[in-house]
Amino acid sequence: MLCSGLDEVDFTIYAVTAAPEVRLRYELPPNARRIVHVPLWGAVEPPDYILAELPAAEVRARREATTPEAIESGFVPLLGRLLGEMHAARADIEAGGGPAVWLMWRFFQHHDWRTAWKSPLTWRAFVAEMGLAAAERDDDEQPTVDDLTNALQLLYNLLLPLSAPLPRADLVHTTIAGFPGLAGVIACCEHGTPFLVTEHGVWVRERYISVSTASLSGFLKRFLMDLSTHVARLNYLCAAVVSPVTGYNVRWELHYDVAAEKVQAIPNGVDPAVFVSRPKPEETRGRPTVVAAARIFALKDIETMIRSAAVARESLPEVDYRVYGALDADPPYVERCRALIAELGLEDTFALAGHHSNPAGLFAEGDISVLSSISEGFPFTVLESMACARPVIATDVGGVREALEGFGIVVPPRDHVALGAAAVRLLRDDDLRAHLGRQAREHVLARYRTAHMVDAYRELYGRLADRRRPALADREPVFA
Amino acid sequence: MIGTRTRTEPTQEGLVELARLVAVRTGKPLDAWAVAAALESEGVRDVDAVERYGRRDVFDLAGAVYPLAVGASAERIPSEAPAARPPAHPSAPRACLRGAFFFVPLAIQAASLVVLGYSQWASLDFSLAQASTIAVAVGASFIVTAGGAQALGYLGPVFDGSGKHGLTERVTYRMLLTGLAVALVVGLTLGLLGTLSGAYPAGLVRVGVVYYMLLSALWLVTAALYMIRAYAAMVLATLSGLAVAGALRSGAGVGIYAAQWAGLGISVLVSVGWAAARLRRRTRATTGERRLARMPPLATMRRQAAPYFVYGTLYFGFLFFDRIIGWTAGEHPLPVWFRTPYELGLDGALVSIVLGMAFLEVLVTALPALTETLQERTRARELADHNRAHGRFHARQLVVIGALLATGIAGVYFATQGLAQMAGLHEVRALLSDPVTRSVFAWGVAGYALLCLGLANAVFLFSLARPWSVVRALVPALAADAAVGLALSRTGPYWHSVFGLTAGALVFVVASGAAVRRVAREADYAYYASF
Repeated sequence: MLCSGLDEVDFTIYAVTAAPEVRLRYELPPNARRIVHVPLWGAVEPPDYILAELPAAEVRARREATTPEAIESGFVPLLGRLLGEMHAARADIEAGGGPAVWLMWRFFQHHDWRTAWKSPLTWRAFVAEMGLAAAERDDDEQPTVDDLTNALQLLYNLLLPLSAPLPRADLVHTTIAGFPGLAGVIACCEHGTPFLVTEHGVWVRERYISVSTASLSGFLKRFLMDLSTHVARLNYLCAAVVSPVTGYNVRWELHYDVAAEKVQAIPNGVDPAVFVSRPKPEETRGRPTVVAAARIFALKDIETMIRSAAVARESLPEVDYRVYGALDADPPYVERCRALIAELGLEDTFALAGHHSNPAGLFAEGDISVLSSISEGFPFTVLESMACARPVIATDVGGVREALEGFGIVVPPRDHVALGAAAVRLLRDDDLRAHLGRQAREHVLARYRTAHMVDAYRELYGRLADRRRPALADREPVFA
Repeated sequence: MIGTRTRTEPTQEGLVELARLVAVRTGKPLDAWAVAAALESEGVRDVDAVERYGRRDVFDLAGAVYPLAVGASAERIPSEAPAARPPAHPSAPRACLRGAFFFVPLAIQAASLVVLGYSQWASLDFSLAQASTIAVAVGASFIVTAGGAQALGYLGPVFDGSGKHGLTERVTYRMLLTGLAVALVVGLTLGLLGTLSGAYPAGLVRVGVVYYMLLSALWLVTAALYMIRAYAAMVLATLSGLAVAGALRSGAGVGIYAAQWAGLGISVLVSVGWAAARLRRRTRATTGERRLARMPPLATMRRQAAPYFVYGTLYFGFLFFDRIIGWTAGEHPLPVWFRTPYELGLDGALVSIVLGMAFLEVLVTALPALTETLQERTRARELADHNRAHGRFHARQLVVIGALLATGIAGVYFATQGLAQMAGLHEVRALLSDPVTRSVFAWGVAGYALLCLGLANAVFLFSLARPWSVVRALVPALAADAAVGLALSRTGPYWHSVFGLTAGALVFVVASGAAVRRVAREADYAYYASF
């Protein structure tokens, strides 16, 4: 949307993805000139996908330059510095002349990623460093050999953006204050490029939720959160502007050293010409239908939605729930959902329907839509449903209340009874549903149009592009 | 900030209830931020923190709940016992049986030779010239295709492991086609050389090339079956090929060449059909983003598969090297002259080590399981114990293999002695009393037993992703095989080439053993580097 809307801006898409195999879900506009793809994981060496874009002579030169001496004197100290920075204050990072990730990126413009990370020198240094730190840990966070192996391997994969070439730009804009934002951190340090951080959720909060509930040892949870927190903090420190999509998220950002004057909230917007009010299709007409657009994974709390469907079915036996969204984000969670559907006997009531090719048509299939997330920013799906005049029942997380209050129903998260009861109420009351639907669409037209969002970013881009600073080596203070 | 209290004193009961909730959701919370995130995901808002708990906001509330949640997580009895982990690998006897299963197709061929007088590529009625030509075809087909087969055996599971079955299917076809193309080029070159040099009659060359191509195709598709663990299909392919050859030869009186070629062709078709159907089915069952999987860069695949390719070529080269050296010694009608007593001695030696070789399959599954267990149980400060345990485990496995080898060798020895004593088996007695056969058997047993121990070392090195260490051990082994075999077979009787096999195997076991000791000393690093 942003690329299409800002057709006077040339974009290079820096895509950090989990796997090397990705499908473009949207047609790229002509001003999206180039895609730099950085996959973090894969069946075979992910760094090779990055190397494949380089001339063979450069790849060879990098490998030859990565001698044991270069690793010992160049890379190992940087690794130690990174591990130290994970617990360091802003002042300490500044005093060191800049963040270790930037210096690592510089190192890997001339050296080979795998050779350096997989060197015995690197492993021994990491083990020694972690051994020293272990003395300060509780007994349940003492690392095993497996923990250290996984921890260093996590660094190897998650920091892969540090091996990628950095496209030159007048401005770097990230949509998450996480590992993809490292490109902005490096650009800020290397070239003084202005860096804009947009947060749809709050990455650190979401990491806390997912890492806390993951099947990991105490040591790995701590390590992963220390790393994530450090990376998020670097994003915030280097950003010229942090633009959350909802004011609610600012609370977290302020706690992570974001200066209040750097924050400028820009809410999401939808295209009301695409998301229009349509009658229900033949297929679902005559049956009370609840739709949801959500990838099936834990943060969306689909289990609560399933339980709420059981509550709704008690009053409306013919109710039909359809959840559209990718099923491969967390396969074990999908299986848990399927098992719950079977356990509650909801096979004819609740469908995990997979990806829907037409988001605008998706909401037309239902009478209402539902969002059961336990963490959100300012969800597009809520706005899209509102634009389609389909009233929304959503959990009270992130900026949901900001968008929905007065135009839908907000319920506490993880409360399947409240969610189910609200669905029954709306499905039974045609007048209320129609009224809320109309009101919701008008509200979107007034406040959350794509054009509003694009204009806000246009103004911000123009302002930031003029704020290039000297490269980090030549400036004080280090961070914006 | 977190931990700062404001306004009214909260009720302790409410905080304890929240702490219990957090402990149930997250276990022991990492810090107060983790508690704040958990509280928000439970629907606790700033307004709730103020109105219900008398705190300034959620962060302030989290600061108060955090120590209570740590306490609650320590008291909490797990709601359910940890699920029993499924066995990571099959039991040792089962794995051993699977290892022995690989010899079943060969055993079927041997049984067919005894019962029908011919197998899929051998016949008791062949002249020495025919047998010699076909023996060259068999050896060449193994050596030329072994590299590709090993590379496929490595690459296929890499994709399978991540559920990208479409890539497994594509890489299988790509490797099969490339392997066939290479085999064809090598076959035509050898055939041309044989014809142009005048060393072989043109008719024999043509026969040899046909056997060579059919066998090359068979080994390649068998590698695909092995890769997808379709063990039953290997037996089915062998049996159906033999059935067709038998029906044509013994039933319809068709010539031996045509019958065997038809049989080999059927084996290839059955194997290809089975592999293709299985691969297709798995690709169709692939869902989500995995369907979009694209091939990694060619250079990556080449680099990763290269050591396995080189290993396969060298290993099968080693298996046939002493025969080539022995059979090219002296003056004969053809440059390579098949020697039945030598072949029988080596075949007997090979049968003797089946038990030991079968046990290697146990190692293949047990080693990764051991490493995983040790990794999870050993504290980082006890790294030395972790590494010593690897070394000790491997030493114990070598002792077990040694015992199995001794048992197998004794079994074959006494079985053949028993056979020789049985009335009516004059031919067996004559064969076994051949001094060349007996000597080749004895030295062959020593060579193969050492090779088996070397392979146990190789399994250890492969399991910690050290394939080049195996290659580095095989190179001097081949050199020793060549040097000793050539020196002794050219200065003494031809069969002294078997000493090359024994010497080479000894070098292999020593060199690979040294590599194992080096890797085991830093098994912690080797495991990390293997990812």
